[in-house]
Amino acid sequence: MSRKLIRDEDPGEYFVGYLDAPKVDRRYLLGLSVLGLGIAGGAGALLAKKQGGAGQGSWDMATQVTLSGYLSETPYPLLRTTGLDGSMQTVLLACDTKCGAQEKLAAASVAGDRVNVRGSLIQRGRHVMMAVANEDDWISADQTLPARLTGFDEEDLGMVELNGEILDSKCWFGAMRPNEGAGHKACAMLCIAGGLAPYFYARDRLGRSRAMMITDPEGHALVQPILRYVADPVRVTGRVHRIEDLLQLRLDPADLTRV
Amino acid sequence: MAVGYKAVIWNGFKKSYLFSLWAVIAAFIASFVIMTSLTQPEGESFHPVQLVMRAFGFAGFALLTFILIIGPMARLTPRFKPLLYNRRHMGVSAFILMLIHAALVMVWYHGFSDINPLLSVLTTNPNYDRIGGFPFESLGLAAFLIIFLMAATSHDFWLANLGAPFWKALHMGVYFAFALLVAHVLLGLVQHEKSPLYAYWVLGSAGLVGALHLITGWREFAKDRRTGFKAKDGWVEVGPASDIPNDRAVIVPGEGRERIAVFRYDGQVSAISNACKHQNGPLGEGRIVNGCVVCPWHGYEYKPRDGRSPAPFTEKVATYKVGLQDGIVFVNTKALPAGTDVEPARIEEARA
Repeated sequence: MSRKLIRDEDPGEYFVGYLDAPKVDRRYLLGLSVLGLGIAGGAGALLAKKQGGAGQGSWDMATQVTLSGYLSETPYPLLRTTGLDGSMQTVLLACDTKCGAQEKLAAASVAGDRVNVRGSLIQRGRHVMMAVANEDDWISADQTLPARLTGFDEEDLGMVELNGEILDSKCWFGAMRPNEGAGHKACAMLCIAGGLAPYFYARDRLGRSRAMMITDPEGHALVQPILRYVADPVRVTGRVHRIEDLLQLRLDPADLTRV
Repeated sequence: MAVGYKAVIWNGFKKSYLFSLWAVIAAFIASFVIMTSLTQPEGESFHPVQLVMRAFGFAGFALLTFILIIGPMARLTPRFKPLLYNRRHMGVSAFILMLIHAALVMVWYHGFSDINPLLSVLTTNPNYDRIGGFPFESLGLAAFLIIFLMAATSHDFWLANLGAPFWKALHMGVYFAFALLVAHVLLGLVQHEKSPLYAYWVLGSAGLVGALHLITGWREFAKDRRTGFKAKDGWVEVGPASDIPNDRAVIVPGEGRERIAVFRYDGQVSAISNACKHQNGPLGEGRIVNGCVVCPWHGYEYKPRDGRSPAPFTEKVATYKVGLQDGIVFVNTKALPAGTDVEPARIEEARA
């Protein structure tokens, strides 16, 4: 016809869903299925392959260990124990969900700072955390440890300006993978608000990185003022302070800026 | 079509279709999980929960994208009509994928704390005033609620009981949900991953959906302009009756936004509304099978002379007066009340 009024399509077979499908549609479904399997398999593989690393660390929930050492409740609950090589090893203490061990310590009321603690270990390189056991006897006094007559070895390493990201220690140590970035932001905020130590994960242009516990300028816990910066790329000026093997980044929240 | 309501009216084709659909979904998820496990750097494996969470999220987004291209593709090729007819199953499948993704997010990222996980999604991250660090989970939650409402009301029972206008408005919400999901992925995953592949994928999906809708819309517009139907004294000249293929229709503009499907069948011509009562399917793109116009989307049937579905069905559409003069078909653009019987114009009689 002079004016093209009818759509170009094969009028031979007409699909009606509740009737037997025409042969051409059955063949088409078969072809589309095979094509779909190929595309789905390929797309799944490509999307998987291009992902960045999920981060290191692990949480061996199945193995309970007992550690002896010196308990400190500030700035965040931690235990200082001795490693196999005789050096001091800091082990942060957490509950088994999104909270620090503050409440469990308050309920335990152990006398003195020489204790045994039991739980499962979350480890990322030299960073160690213990998710303490749920039983009431997760902590006990240990009088076999020698009393400390002197303080811990401390050192002021000076002022630094760093670029990086504020993370929660538990997830970053290995409780979750991936444990950085926008996808993990809300989780990290819940964890830090729950009492888990915030960490600053600093990275330089050469790809070198270092994670440090965040405290206020006096070395006390710092939580609420930094929550809104969690998991954002930030720049900060602060003072690095070492206590035994633990690095603290002592900062004023006013010195945090997003980059 | 069915008089009563059944959850699914199964037939062999539909079973094959659903099996194929879930085989493709399974292939995507399996491929993603296996390849992620194989390609992560040493000592940097995904946590299994987060791996599954991501796999189902990706699968849900990809499936929703495909669902949204079925409509325009079905207007470009009749081979997509079987997918269109069974689109509800695909939609419910996408909802299941998103449900698993959302449940894992709720439990894993927002559970295990003192705050209600649902409240946590909306309030833990308060940075609603910034693009960087925006609480993108809230966008995903909003999209999920829309998809949930659609999945819950996808059955024809709800179409009949909610009323077509409300039901259709609700189900058009899928485009809003898709836009929310695009933003959800862009502000979440794409900001985290270094590879630009994910941005290309999400933006490409949105572009594909938009482009196909624009192309098909433009084709409709261009066809209307090309055919140049104009009403004179309330009548539109359709063209020679012999140019309308038997058991098919020509679509012409009616009053306002109405479109009229003019069918030729059994040596006669009748005209009914182009919009199916079920989901506004284009009846004029359908065919006459066993004496009834059959909608190309879901197979709803109407008798061409009175626009009524055959008993025991009760749907009915508007009809239009038709006439023949010197072999040329004319149709009156004034819609008659739905179900009005109109004497067809007989081609042989006119020629005689």
